[in-house]
Amino acid sequence: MNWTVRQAVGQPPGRAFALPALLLLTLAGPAGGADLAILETVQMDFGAVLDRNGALTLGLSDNLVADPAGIHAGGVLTSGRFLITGDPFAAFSLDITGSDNDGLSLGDFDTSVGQPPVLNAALNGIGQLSVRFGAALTVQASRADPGLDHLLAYTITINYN
Amino acid sequence: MRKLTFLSLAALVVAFPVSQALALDSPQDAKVDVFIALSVVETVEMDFGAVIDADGTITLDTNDVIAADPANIHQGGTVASGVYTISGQPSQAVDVAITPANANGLLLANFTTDVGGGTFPLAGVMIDGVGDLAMALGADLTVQSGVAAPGANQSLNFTVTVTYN
Repeated sequence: MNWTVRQAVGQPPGRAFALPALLLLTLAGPAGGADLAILETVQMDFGAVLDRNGALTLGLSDNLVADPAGIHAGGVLTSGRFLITGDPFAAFSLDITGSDNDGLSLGDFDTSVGQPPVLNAALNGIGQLSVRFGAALTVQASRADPGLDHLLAYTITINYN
Repeated sequence: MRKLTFLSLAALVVAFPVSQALALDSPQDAKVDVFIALSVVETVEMDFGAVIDADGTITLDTNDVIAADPANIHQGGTVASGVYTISGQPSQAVDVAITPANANGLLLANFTTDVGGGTFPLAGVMIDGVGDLAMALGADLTVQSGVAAPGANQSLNFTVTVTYN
């Protein structure tokens, strides 16, 4: 910065402003920076459950971690898989918010980079990170309706640190 | 010149945004199938009629017939194959197993049915489109005369276990 000021001495007033302006842009701006993005590569799938009160936990390896009420009724279990992209080596935080979907509630999320909220995950040198998700699904039989392919909404929130 | 410089600065700021999207809320969906809880209703109780208190085995088929009685212990009475209805999620496959609780010298074994492969355990039999699976049952009844006691309407207990395939 001192170098820039010295160079401005004796120059027309316009140069004195132009140089700091360029420097400001260089310091403040990842002008070529990438927006954070999330791409779902595998949808989280709990298979089938009975329309009975209970909760089951889907792990990070397509596995059933817990089913104390015995409500899992087969089907293919798949953990969620996502590709997060952004600036190479960028650090970011990650959180997941579940919801209640007509008696089918998602919560207690887990990920391969830690249990949310994850405060300091990092993208790799090409600006990518693959993350696996698991979660707990709670069934309230009085509100849930039998049927196939019920959707269970949730939101992933990521922020550059 | 000063005016030109400020204009240049403004143009650069517009052309090259210094801020990028720092946060992202991404809505997603998981999915699950919710199945009707399975139930089993007995519509016809399995009935072997009458047997004498002598060692032997009779075979009740799935059509109300004593199909085998090599020791001639069957003594008439009403013979009925069991009829059960399994209810659950339409068009889903289930597995069915039967476990007898043999007692008092009257032993059930070798259950047969008119669905699937005909013998237990059944694997992957289908509930129909309205959510029902009707199933006739037969079985072998063995009498151990040294243990069994004469008497009418003696219960022969067994458990039907149904799970989604």
